[in-house]
Amino acid sequence: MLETEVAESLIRMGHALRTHHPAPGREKSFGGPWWQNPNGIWVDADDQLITTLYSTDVATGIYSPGGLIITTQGRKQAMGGQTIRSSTTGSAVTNVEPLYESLLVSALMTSYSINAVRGQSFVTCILQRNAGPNVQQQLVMYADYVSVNNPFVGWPYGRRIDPREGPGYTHTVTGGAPAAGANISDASPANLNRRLRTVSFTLTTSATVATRRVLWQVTDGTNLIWQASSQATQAASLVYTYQFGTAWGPEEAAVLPLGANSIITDSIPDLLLRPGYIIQTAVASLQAGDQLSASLYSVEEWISP
Amino acid sequence: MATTTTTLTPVDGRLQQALYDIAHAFRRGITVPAHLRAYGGPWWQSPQGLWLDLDDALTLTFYGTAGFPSPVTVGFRVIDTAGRIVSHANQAKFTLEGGAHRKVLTQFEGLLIAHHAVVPASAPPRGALYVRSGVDRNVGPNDFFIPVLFAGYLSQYQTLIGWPGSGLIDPLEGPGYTNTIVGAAPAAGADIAYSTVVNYTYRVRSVSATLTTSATAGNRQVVFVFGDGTNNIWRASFSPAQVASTTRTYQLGSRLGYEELATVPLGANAIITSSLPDLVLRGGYTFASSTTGLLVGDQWSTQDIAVEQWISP
Repeated sequence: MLETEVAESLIRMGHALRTHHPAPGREKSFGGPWWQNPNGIWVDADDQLITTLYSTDVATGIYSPGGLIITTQGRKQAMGGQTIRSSTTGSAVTNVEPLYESLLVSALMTSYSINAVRGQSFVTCILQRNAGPNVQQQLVMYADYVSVNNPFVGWPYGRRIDPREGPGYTHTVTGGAPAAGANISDASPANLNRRLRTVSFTLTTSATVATRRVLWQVTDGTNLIWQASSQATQAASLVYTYQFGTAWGPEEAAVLPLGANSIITDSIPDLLLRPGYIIQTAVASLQAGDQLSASLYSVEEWISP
Repeated sequence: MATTTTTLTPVDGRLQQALYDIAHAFRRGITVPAHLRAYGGPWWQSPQGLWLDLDDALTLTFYGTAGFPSPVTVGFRVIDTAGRIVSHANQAKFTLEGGAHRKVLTQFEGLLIAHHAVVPASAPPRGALYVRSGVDRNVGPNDFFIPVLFAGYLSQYQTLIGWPGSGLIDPLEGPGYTNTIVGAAPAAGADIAYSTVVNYTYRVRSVSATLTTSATAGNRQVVFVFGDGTNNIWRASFSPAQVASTTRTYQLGSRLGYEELATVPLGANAIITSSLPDLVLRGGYTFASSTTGLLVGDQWSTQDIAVEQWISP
């Protein structure tokens, strides 16, 4: 959009103009005592702050990078004001903030999301020197999750962590609904790592006489890393719920009542799923009229390849 | 991974250029040649760094993982004795895959204010590429190494590590690389004998392997054994014996909690499952089968070992 291009350029121009014509109220002279020099990093006109957001909070997540500099005239001046958001789950969105000769004393990312919890929105900020042919990425200013409960991360005093460090985003994922007579096959999405907590799905068998046995499998896309074969079988015209719990312990050999239906429970190891991992069923003697439901996965999730 | 940016592509190039030129003209210091600037900070801002001279060197050691070729760029930034800021942004570029690599960057007299290693966004996942850098003083007979400047993993989401700021992270700290190791199938009639790779540490999530027995009559009784290279540290005995002309998959799950005492159908074959403690295997540890009654025509498959792994001896 041309309008957006013009606005972007005007922002850049205004950004430069503020150096020389400070807007009232937005800048203050550096007036600390002689024994208190400000701490910061000296930057100049070919440096820039590159802020990158990776978020699964696509619907409501609005994030704003910013910072504070002390100009060569000793004035404190705020930077930023732009907003960025993820358009695709977990993919990178980058904001570039050009700098000019000054002392960079802080850099900050603010989350205006009303929903994002930890594990959903990871932000990194890098100070890049010499934008151009001799470009040099010098310093990671911060790298951390922002959330409703922790809406600010920044430098200094912020952290530089890997997105898989610490607790992730706990939520429930609904897998794809297979067609009648078809098995479940759910691939883990790009850019996310998931720790499985529980899995459940239902098999409703048709009136066709057959002995079905559920085999539940996890692959890394190539190699089979776990499979659970139900000890109990399922006959015609029945509704069984199958559920798996991480490190739950027992394995039920027989079905138990679940209202008018039945349930079979099994334990699974503490599995981590990277993008491309596949959870699938291979039900023995599955009939054309049998219907597997979509799986419900309770997961802990992190932004990570 | 697709990357988008808010630095927009101009639709009307002339207008965009004109506005940009106006903004550019207001920036200070732009007339100084691109990568060489006099240090021009105010009196109240002294640069912080580490003074180096001609017999010092920056020494980086990289540890990679096979299967992840990764281009690495290392550089540093100094203020020289004339007060000029000099960037060596691309002091070394190389592609690393597996094993340890050492890079030595010779220095000159000046104040080291930044030092870094960078990988592209296509870098391997965390746990697969580790780097450590420090200053080697008095390169030569009186050589000694001062404390490390930075140490940690480079990955897709941490493409830059450097000093100051990044800190010192032990390779066993934090999450590792989620991977599936495929052990080689032994010869017919032989047991599994897999050794973990030196310089890596693994947390085992699950193990599975399939035994196909020949037509020769006999009961085969399977035990999986984990060892540290000398001692056996865990044994998993599967109680149902396997007879001739059958195929059975044996699997272990970390903290699974139960042990099957009978085989369960697995399609046309059968599976038997048991639990495994939260095992951590260092390099040189072993995973083996010990099959009582194994016969010449019996065949063990490859082994799928799901692990979380770190670069660490």
